[in-house]
Amino acid sequence: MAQKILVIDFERCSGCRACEAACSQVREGAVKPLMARVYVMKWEEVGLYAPMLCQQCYTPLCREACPVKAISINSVGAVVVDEEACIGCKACFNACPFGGIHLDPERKRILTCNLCEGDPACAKVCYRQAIQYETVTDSTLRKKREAVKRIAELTIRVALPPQT
Amino acid sequence: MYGYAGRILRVDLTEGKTYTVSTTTYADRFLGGIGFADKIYWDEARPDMDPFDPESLLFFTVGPLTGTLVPGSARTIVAGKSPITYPRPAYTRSSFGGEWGPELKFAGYDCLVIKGKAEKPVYLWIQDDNVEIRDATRIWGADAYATQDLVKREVGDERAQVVAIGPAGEKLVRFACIIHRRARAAGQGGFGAVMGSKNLKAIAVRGTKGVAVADPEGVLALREYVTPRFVICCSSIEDSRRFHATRDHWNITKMANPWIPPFIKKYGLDSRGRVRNTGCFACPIGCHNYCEVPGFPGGEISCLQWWYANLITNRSPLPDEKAERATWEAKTLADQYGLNAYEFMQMIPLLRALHADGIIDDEKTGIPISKFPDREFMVTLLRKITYREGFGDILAEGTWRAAEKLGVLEEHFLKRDLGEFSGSYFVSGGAGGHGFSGHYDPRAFILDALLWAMYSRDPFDHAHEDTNLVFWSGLPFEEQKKIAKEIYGSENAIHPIGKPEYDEDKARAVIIIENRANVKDALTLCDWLYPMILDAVTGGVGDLTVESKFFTAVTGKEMTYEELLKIGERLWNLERAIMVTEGRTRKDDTLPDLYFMYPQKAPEIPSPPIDREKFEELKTHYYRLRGWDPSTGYPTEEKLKELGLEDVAAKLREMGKIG
Repeated sequence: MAQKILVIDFERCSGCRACEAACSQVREGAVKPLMARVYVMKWEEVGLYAPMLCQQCYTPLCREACPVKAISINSVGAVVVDEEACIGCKACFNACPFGGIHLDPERKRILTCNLCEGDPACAKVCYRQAIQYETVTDSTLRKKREAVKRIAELTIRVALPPQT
Repeated sequence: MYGYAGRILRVDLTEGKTYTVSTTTYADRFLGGIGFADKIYWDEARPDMDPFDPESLLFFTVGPLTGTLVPGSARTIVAGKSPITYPRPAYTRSSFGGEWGPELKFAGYDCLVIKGKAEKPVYLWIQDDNVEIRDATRIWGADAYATQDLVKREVGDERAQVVAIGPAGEKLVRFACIIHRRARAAGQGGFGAVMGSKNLKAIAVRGTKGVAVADPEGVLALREYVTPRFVICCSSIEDSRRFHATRDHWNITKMANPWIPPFIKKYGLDSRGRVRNTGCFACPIGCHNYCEVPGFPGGEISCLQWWYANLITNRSPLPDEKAERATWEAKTLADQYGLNAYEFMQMIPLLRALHADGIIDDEKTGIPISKFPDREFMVTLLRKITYREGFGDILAEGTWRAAEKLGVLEEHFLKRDLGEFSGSYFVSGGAGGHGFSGHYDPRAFILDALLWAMYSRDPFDHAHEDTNLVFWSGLPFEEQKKIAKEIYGSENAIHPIGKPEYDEDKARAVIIIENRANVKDALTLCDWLYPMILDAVTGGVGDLTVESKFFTAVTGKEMTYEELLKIGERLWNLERAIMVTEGRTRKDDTLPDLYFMYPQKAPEIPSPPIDREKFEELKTHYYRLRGWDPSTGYPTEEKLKELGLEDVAAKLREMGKIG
């Protein structure tokens, strides 16, 4: 079965943070952006909004760093923490180069994205499709199709300069 | 408690003290948002209080739905005594979107009440339970964009949300506004000046708590249900149907204003040629466009931010790049200075008219009025007002007070149609009512005329449902009537544009609109999306019960549409009581004379002048249906008691102001 991943298109993001709201509502039972596994990074002065999530690495550095082998990859390809085994040392937090590991300061837990076991809430509420949950093949084909359109438009522009 | 944060934060800037009180005292009867402000204002404020008196109260208040996944729930209501209302300061409200309101909820508060005046400039830093009044001496004078950035840097938290005033608020310009992010503003009401009078430069909030939701699945299901059904902004129904297919393009394809598509295509597309929409917290709509014009800061633009273009024309595209740049510079400068752009929709036509008549000139005012619409005129005008330089000091008092000072209030403003000096046809371009600028022309929309006459400010924080139905929907009048039957109880609730009618069905519709308005501002929801009078999927009548369903899903409390409307009625009566204590009577419930004197000649909305006598009859219907005394406009004891407002009735009786 083709693996689905969370595909991010920064430029589509309106910065609304519905993904954060949905993630925390599903995982924590309350809209609580601090506990969301997705963060929308913002550069208001240039209008750049970027939803940042766990990359779900094939060779997760967090897993490599874990001294008690509490981190594994689940059936949908998500890198998850076994809360029973976790000792809270935060070695995973330090090892991740993407800031993909979050901490729950209240209940002293490590928070990671489990892709909602194959039905990610963040992608479901993103009407603008800045976050899409799709197979690598679908995503690749979509991007290739868009690229061909762009190149075609460019080609026409170059080939047929505007009449003056 | 689901939905509510549970606490109200009280700040006294004079004493430098903060404390909290429980929300539970107010939640059942006053719901949230404007309801909390109304109740606390009634209990504590002196009717004759000057807005700039240190003791005057300023509210930032959100509702039980704010900070959840309910679309359009990120509104914050700002309320208090307004310095811009005319002839006297009055209690009124404004609101803004973005992310500040949800953050206040995440910090654990449903409402923030500020009173007192700090000795020197300060800003407020609310970090969950930790509330600090911090020195703002170094950022005093900074523009509203820079202030937000400086405060975020100083508190060391880029996820903090900030509202700020610009130099206009500091200088007590009576129409100074409060700015959030790069376009969100509590514009009407002059509350930026109230912040300035309290030496309060900004309020930064960061919350790490959550908003607990009773039925998360229910909220998500309702969200799925409503999102495709919203009819958005100036698009016609047909257009919003297209919204589903070409989400990014709805507002550049069929907008009323012809300068928007070329502008967005030039300055507002991403690297792949798609429109860059931005939105409020958790809202799927994203009604703003992010634009970048070379040489100016980037920012968001929706409808009002086109104000300068609107003053030039809305019948043809902007003439050239110079005008495009002036439009963008006007938006940016108004934001940065913290000026309410809508004020200029009456001020600039008045200045041009007075200039044409030779009453004022470029030299004496120091403002190159003859050069309109050149940027030189606009930049000089905004600067002189913001810093109260020369003639700008008079204009900083607001258009109505400035006209009074110049001795031109009656003849040249309230009794004059300034339509020819306004570029826009649906914005009347002159005086509107109660000190505010004209907006949708009340001659063309009698419901709006009555809504306007009865309110403390312009009614376009809730009157859009009328204009959306009869103007923007693009539906044939016969279809509109069927929808009117469903949402106002009578086909006769609306009239064809240009053929005004003044019967009691119109008054009944106005009362429904007003009660719904207070429900919306109590929950707190966006006026563009709620109430859902039209359904974009079916093309017919919308679902008026979504607010109550969302309320139940979020709070877990049973609530019907009718019960919500009753709360709305309670709040409207409480607000009327506040107005009455401030001196409001039936004769103040009116519009400027010009609307009774001249027709609206624009070919899109040709309308005769409002018939004064019939309008008074319409008002009488209104008072009677409201349960108020038609001769004075005071609420009756009976009505107030029916609504559980016995204490309000007692105070009004004491003042001799009960119907």
